Amino acid sequence: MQPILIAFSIALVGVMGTVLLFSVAMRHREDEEEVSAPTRAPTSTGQFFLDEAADPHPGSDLSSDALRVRVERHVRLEQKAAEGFLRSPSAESLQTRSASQLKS
Amino acid sequence: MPIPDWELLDGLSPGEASAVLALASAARLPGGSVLFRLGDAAENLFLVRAGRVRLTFPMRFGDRQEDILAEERFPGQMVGWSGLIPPHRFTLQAVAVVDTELLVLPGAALRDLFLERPGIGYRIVSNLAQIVGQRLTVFQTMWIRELQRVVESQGA
Repeated sequence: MQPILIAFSIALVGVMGTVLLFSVAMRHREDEEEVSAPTRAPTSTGQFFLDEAADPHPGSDLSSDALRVRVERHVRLEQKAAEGFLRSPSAESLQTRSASQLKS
Repeated sequence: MPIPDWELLDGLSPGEASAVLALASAARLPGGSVLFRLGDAAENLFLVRAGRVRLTFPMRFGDRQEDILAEERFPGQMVGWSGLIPPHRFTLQAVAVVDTELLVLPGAALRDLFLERPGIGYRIVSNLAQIVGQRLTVFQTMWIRELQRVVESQGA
């Protein structure tokens, strides 16, 4: 009788351990999903100008030429702003917007 | 036409600057002509003597590809540091905006001169590091500002 009880106890501990490990693993996966859920996937067009360049004003019929001009103006203004940062580095100069019309 | 102060030759004595410039040949580019294309082997670097050079990268607009301004180089400035720095491939396209005069410095001859006269090599490489460092910081700043725009556009 005693060996049977010992074997039963070992089996019970094994099952409890498995259940515990499984529940921890599931909780970890749920946490990961919670963290990743609010993060929007990057746009297929990338993040350096193109996300806005692809569709700056939905519904508008901005021509490619006009868009190109707008992108180049954006580059010039941003370069000027970046050179300003170089002369006098500050958090504000990284965060303020230029007069560029290439906005989201 | 006045000869500009070359940013690449800053700090060299007149004799040292002459030794560098003796390696150069003059070139004229009509406005609109291509100096080099993205991906080309970079065998030379260029000093802008007069005119203006526009550096561009390709961007797709629908079914068309356009060359978009990255930066412009003016008299006194250099173009094409890839001629000195491995892997010696141009990473942008360069086009003369207007009729432009250049001095063409062969990278290999310049490297030979550096071995022969290390003082010149040290000064030019220091100048190059400063030029590249400034441009890197400008582009890093532009990148950070773009990320800030992205974050704001996400509603943060």
